[in-house]
Amino acid sequence: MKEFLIEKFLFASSIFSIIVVTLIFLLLFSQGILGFREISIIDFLFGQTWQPTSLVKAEFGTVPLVYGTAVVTSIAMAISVPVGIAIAVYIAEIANPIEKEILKPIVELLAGVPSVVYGFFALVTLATWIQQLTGTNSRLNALNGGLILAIMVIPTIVSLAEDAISSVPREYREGSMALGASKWETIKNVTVPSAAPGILAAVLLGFGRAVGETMAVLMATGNAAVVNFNILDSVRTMTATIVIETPEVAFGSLHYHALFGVALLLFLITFVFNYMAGVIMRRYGRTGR
Amino acid sequence: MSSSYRNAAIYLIIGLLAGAAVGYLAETRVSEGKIKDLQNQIDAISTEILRGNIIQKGSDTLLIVAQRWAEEYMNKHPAVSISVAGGGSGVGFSALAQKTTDIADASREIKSSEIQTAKSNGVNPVEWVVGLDGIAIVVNPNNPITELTMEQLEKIYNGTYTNWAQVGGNNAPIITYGRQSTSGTYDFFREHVLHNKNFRADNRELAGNAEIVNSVMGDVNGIGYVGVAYTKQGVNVKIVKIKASADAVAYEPSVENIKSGTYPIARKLYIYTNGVPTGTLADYVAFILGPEGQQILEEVGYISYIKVDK
Amino acid sequence: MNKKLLKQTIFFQIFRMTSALVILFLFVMIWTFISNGIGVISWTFLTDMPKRGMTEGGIFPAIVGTVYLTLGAIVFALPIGVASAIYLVEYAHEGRLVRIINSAIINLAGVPSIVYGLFGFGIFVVFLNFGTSILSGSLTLFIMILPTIVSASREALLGVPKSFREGSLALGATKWQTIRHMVLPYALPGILTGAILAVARAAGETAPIILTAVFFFRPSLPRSIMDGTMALASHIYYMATQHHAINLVRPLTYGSVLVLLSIVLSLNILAIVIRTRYRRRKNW
Repeated sequence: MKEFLIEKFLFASSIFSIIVVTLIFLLLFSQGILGFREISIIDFLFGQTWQPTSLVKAEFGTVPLVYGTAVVTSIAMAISVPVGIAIAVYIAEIANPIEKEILKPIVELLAGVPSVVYGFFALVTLATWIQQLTGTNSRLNALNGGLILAIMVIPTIVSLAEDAISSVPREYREGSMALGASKWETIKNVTVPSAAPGILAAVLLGFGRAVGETMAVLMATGNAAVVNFNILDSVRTMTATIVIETPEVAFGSLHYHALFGVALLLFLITFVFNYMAGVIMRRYGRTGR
Repeated sequence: MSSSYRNAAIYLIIGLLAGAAVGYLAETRVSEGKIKDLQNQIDAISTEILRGNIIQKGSDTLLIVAQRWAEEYMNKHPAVSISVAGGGSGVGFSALAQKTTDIADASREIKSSEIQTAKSNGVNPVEWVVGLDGIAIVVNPNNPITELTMEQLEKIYNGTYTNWAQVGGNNAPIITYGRQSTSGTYDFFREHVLHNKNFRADNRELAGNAEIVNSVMGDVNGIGYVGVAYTKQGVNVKIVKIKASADAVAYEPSVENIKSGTYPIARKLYIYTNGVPTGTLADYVAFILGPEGQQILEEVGYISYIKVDK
Repeated sequence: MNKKLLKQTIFFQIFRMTSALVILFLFVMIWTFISNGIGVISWTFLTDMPKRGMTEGGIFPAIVGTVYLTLGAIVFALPIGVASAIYLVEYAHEGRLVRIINSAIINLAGVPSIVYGLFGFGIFVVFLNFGTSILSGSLTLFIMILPTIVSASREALLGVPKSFREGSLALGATKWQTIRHMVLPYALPGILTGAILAVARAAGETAPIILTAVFFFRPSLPRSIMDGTMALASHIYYMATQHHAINLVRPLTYGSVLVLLSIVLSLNILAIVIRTRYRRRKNW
């Protein structure tokens, strides 16, 4: 009897995750969908203006927000992908044991720094550096957000990519070296290509993390909801919009539902990327957790 | 209840009645009856010990003074815990309607739609005017502009003017900073400066007055609007004088100019409660409206409403 | 051959520099916080209430709030997370349900923290009417760290050799007795590591608690889990962006960052140490 109860408890606990994911989706969906009784989905997805409280005409176009997220994330990925993979390769293939012992925990510590701390650093220090280097007037801008986000995504990419590279069978490398390839050629032509699916999964997860990051970009980007294709200009991301406007918009108002709509969009984007990463990991065997 | 509290309440009545006598209060919903109700509530708790939790939420403009009120009041009454949150006036009203706050701080009057929402939840918002505020227009110290007309300000913020040269400044783009949409300052500015039209689309909407000041400090082409109290401590921005019209005199948001009404962008600051408060909350509201609360308000940089002598 | 080696050396050095640069960044950042923040750190700063509109005094209520919120989260997350992992490793049979549970956990791990915040706000603060409270915040953080705990515990359980279980079962122990006495004790360091990392993450989270648990200013200690609170992470955000005299309080903000960073990084280091030791000793 006791065994039976314990098993039931264990089972219930493991079902809990499914319940939570479902609840999150249902909440976002049910609250978000109510907004679409009045906002057309076309306007929501393709509208150029986010003016949710306008007295003239409230507009809920998410293009500026998606643009903000896209530009900050692109900058972050453009830096963190090459840097992350380089560090992963270095740790897995090149570093001597002592370097390895130092690098691995440091990458973990980098992952452990809270995002509000990164945000504060971007706000007070990084922004000043960028302003001094470029002479821009907008202290807080997309580049600032992208750079700090890059630092935050690097640990995710490094740890997963390093797992993937390390789990490439030793025979591959030995075979390549036996054929006269140098260590670098082996890394470039054999090890990294063999680990490609795992590295791709790492990049996808890093991307998901970047899209969903909130506090650091909120504090770093200046939050102007406009599209003007200049990385030294201020942008407003989807996450920043939610955190700025949600605390308590008039409950059940159109604006309230529109914010849940933005969250739903965000949830779906990250869901797709995490799902793809999951599929790749499963298909190509163990490359990380 | 200590006698100083009774004195506070009496002072409050006298002050508010005096205000009413000169006609200033006639336009608000502050009535003699409401103050009497508050007085009755304070008398009713005179034998109780003041204790409990109070939540005060809303206007970011009032946040700066609300935290000081809370702090001083808790120093006097350690058994009372007061929690203070910002977010904006709209946040305060919505929280009041949901009964998740005891006091809604506001830098604008409650809208009829907000009253309706509150009433439908069984909440009866009661308004208390706590002070006056001027909205300061700030630019970078390196910006040569020293004064603007209301019309120029409107055109800067609605996007008609995009270059400082159009208002007599340098040939440089204008970068506007403002508050996010849940802010009472945002609403007030939109109503009184933009005449309810939209802000320009690239207006940078920041989550707090302080962020605006800080951004303008770092942006030579920036302009921002903030509660005047946010320009008092440890900041380096230039406050622009404002003219009601092109041929009027330009005024700065000084205490005298706000009191006398010559500074064109001034407003009242409010707190709202659900009905006339009772118990500890009544005492706290009386503290805010009384001499101690009003002194704190003035220390912070706003203008005591009770002492308005117009 | 020489050219080959030269190319190799160049690339290896580039990679080494890149790694060094990232280390440098971490140190520059930490050094910025130490050099600017150490001046305000004192016993009073750690144990005093904020004073004069948070321009003076300490951050005691924020520290206490962070401790309550994270303890609350781990109290829920540890039993449910470990139980979930035990079920998945020891009881469940490969199949559709396990696949769904797994993908639920993976997706939960990828949900942005602001979405957790909005969820916690919708469910705990509004729907269940817990209000802005430690309870709402803890439950939100609990859901957020659950996947971390499940994954770490599962890995720890999988690391315990099959032979341990078989031996115990052969001696007539029930399944639960086996898990209780022969599996869990050996998985404990791994589970503990995961739990510590989860606590560190919860302590540093800002967006979810801003929507569910914290106030800008609350200079008294919470008396019950239904009270709201201050917390270190949100305090830093407020002091850095919302306070009326951002520059005046900048030193205090640096101090608060230093305190939060010390707590979070110590927990991370502790987790690393436990894991390293346990790996070295693990020679069954």
